[in-house]
Amino acid sequence: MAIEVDGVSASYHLRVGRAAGWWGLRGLVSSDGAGRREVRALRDVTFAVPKGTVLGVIGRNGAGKSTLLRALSGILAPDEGRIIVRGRISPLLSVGLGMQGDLTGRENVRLGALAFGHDPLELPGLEASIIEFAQLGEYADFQFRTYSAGMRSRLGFAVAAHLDPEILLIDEALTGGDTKFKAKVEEKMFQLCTDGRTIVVVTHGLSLVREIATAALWLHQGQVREYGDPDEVVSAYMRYCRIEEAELAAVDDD
Amino acid sequence: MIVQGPDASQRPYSDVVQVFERNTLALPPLRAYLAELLDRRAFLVELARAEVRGQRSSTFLGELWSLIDPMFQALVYYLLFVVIRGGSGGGRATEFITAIIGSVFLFNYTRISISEGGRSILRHRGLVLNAIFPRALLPMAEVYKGFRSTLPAFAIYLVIHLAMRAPVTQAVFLIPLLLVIQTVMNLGLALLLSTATAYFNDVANLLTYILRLLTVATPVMYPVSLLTPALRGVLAWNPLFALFAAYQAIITGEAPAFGLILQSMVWATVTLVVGVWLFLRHERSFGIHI
Repeated sequence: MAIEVDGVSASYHLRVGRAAGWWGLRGLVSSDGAGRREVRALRDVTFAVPKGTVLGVIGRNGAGKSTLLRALSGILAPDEGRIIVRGRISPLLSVGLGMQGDLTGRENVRLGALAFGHDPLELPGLEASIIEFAQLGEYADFQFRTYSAGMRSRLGFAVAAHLDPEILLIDEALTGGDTKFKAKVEEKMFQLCTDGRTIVVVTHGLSLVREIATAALWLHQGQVREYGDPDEVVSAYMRYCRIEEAELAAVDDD
Repeated sequence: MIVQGPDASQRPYSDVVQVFERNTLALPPLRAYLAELLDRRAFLVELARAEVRGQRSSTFLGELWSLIDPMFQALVYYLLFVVIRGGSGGGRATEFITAIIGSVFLFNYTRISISEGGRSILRHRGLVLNAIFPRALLPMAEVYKGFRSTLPAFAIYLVIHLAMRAPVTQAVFLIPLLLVIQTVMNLGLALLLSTATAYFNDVANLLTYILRLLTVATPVMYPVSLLTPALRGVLAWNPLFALFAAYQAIITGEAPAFGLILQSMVWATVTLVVGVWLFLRHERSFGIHI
């Protein structure tokens, strides 16, 4: 097994607005006071992913998909349960979220690669191929905050895909980018998953899950609703979407 | 629920096994952590360099500001302590101007470590939430940045010191040692304060006042000899006091008392140990809080 998730619950602490009562002092004396709220994003999640699996994680917004990726990568420690990961896991998650606005795209790429522990000597070549894949052109030396949403997600995917981890985590792979780039992403994903790599991809692109995933996980309100064959899970999810809220069928963006 | 996987035999996986559980606030194995930090030192240097470039890139003079800033700073203190105060009979102030300028430049190193290092986890929220690496690299990068950006000021100070014909004694050989002590202290402060700001964002606002208080409680702009023994006793509780008293002695051409150096060593060690202990125990929880 590449990934074993056993009874995992995870939560965030959110600071909700201004703390009420005693001018906010109550929030200081008790951790569950008015100023903070604990949000349980994952509840008793259990599943196992064999090596070489391409796992598509689906579910509605706020179902805990991104939290799951953060927990798998060790960024967010679970409150309960245990996660065992075997193999070098990808260090960067969200498309663009880990990038820093005042730095250029190129600097962000270098930082990402160095954080993953890449050899500084190999950096120039890696940097060039990432920038080429992301089709940044001269924008590579512009500050990241000047990038369009499409450029951000292109760069984020390019970095994650080029760092060559054994377990690749991809968040919202296909939310940005035009049709041409989407095709390129799918091609890259095919290529990545043919060589025995384990991939966990969070996506709203249900057709992508059907085409390239070998397993699918449907998260609902922080819990595993279904896990198994991608066709079956996607069908069940689509049925649910149609029944519960007809308008949500539009989630499948294809 | 088990899913049958495809044949993964073509790809040999490395034998890295990671287990993630509830953060028990236990310290990670220190040797392994240190090795990982050393491994990623290129990240630290790149982060510091990229940040300095990022901050300067929107200005016309760019990198030149690292020279212009200290020159203006020196000029302001010259105006304040020599032209204005010196005119009203503060002869000692005129002699003392080199000590003030030198100490201010040295203090800048600590100031950057506290204000930038102390906010490092919060400021790099995106990285902390989306990338995996030893978090201590962030405050360390800020301390490194502080040192790098203070270097041009040291060069400028050297020119001022010689131009003002300020005394140079054998005690200058102690300066590298004091810089090491200061670096240890800065690292400790950056680790400690960045942990605090990650848990309580309010501390980030407090940092401004902590710094102002430290500027006054540290012998940067006044001679140590001016203080009454009682006041000195109180200020000795400021971890930076002994260190800057030693710097001041060297700049004004005296040999610093051995006690001052020993005291600053003890303070630096205590700060680093407390900082490392707090940071490493809590770094795995940063994702939950920021």
